[in-house]
Amino acid sequence: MSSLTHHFLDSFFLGYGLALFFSYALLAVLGKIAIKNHYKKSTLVNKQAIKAGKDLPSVTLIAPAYNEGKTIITNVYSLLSIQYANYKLTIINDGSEDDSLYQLIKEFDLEMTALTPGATEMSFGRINNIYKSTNPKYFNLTVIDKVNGGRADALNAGIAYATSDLILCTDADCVIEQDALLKMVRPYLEAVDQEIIACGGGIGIANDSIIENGTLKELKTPKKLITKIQVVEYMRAFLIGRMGWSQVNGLMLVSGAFGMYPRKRVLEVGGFNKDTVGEDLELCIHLRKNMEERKLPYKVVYIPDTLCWTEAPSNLKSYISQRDRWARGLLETLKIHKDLMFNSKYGAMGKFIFPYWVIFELGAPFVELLGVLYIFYYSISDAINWPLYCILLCSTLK
Amino acid sequence: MRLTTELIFIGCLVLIVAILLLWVVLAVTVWINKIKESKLNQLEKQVTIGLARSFKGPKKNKNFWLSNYFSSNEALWQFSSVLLKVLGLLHKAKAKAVHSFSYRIGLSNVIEKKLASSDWYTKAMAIQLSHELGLFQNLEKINAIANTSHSHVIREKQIAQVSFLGWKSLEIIANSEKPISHWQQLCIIQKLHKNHPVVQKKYFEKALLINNRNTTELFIRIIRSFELNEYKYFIENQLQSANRKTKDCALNVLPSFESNSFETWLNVCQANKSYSTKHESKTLSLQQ
Repeated sequence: MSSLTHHFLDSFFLGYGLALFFSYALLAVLGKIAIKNHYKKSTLVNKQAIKAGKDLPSVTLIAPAYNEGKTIITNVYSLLSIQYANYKLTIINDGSEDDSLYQLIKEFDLEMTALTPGATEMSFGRINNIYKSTNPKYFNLTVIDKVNGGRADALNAGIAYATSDLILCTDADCVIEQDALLKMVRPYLEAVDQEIIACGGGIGIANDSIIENGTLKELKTPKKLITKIQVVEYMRAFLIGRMGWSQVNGLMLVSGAFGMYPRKRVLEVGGFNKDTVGEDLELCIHLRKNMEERKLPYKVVYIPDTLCWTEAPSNLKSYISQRDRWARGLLETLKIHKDLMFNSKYGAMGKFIFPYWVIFELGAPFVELLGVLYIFYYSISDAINWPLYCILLCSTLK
Repeated sequence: MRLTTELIFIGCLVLIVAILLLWVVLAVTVWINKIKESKLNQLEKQVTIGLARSFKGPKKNKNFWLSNYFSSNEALWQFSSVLLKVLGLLHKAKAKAVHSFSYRIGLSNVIEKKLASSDWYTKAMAIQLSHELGLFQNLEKINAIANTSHSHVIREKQIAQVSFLGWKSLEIIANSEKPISHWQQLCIIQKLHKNHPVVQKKYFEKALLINNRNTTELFIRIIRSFELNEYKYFIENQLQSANRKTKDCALNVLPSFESNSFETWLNVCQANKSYSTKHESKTLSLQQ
């Protein structure tokens, strides 16, 4: 390798590393400011008043379920007990092969209702039946039984049949905090100049914690190392990444496991994209793009409180499969919206945020791999300053 | 080449120092926050127990438990947020006792001073405490707060005005230069129901005459909440509004009246139809 190539590669890796490090540092600072602002603003809002409010925006919680027979009843009970005055729950049975639907029909006294066509703005798989409870206790429960089409397809069906102002997308196996809706609705209630097009909430890892009747009774540290690492990773992603971007209205991702959107905006963009496994990222980018095209002021916000608990992969195989899905989703979504790259028509999103995602979120794993290979090459050609290398490695160890 | 190596070395050193500094800052922040949190938890616990004793226990024991926490104005200020939490859980009769209690312990003076704070959060909190604890003497100072202040300060100022002045204040609010959020509208209506349940039509009519888009939604919701059927025309007029939010609000509210005439239903249906047609054509043009 010529000295010029060496020089170029050295400078590239150092420059990339420094840029990544300082962008994380900046996001950490912004995240801190955002969290502080959030708590200041939320203490000024009386949650009890929201609870008692009669004129609140209506919310439909949409939870797709696929072969969740073991836990479906407990989870639905837990979801039904969420505190919010104007709330409906829609469970989508996405072609389950187990007895989930039978259990639901039996437990909640469900009865078939007339099959009407849902909103025409989006496409989804064939609906077999729609069920409503005959028991007044569960008046707000709807179960949609459809052919299997995947998560995005199931969510689209739920959105098409919802009639509320806001929709909250989650999974049937997630444990949701009782006051989650009260917290999630706050940004929508407080919005004045900018429309809130998406709101996300913190997601926590509940592996090895005690869950009783669909509610988290005691939070415990996961036993396995791989899950422990993910706890830190989630905290970094939500408290630093999401909150930091939220502070500068640069948030491009609201997690699919827990995201709230205004229904009319989701309909405008045709719902979740079924052609990508990163449907949550795609929807958020699409919503932002839609608002930019309409030249309407908007905001994507994040609530730092952990409002939703989920099970994280606890073995290497499922961990790799999850990360593979996320990486593919990212690549597919960035490809779908490649026209945003350095496109000033889309404001800060086109000029800075999208390029950041391409260069750092998508590019980092490739650069890191090349970096490792480069170090390996240096080590065999005996060109590494080992003491310095060790200091640097130690200081960056998490 | 030598210069590049030196540059890389310096870059690495800067990186190491920055990371180490970050770790130190993080560790210190976590430590300080932990101490603060434990103190606040302790205070909350003591205040809750103490308040319960104060209302239930023998008179001679009243307030003995608080003396440790009132050493400074700052301690009292911190105590106020806890008091506010407790207030939210009490019935009206007990809440009155908390109001007089706040006078007794000198909290009202601290709140009055905080109204002059340059920090938006402290100021907004002081206004909120003023109207929640019924400190009417602070109204003059609250009224004097500039309309150019932080949006949360203005929001609390307007809620306080409604809380203290009731229907009279709607005329002032009708001149608001900034839009009123849904949340603020709910608070204002709640204050009217709680503190001024009797509608004073004279003032409300005056407010309605001021044609301000920023307050239209608030008035729509007040008409609905107090079932003021004679002002339903105001909501019906908004069905023709060019503003989508106002129109949506009118469309949502109007069908909920029990005494709707056939004409009202017709208006709602027409507005709904024209709205969906417009919306569809807009979507189509965007898709094309």
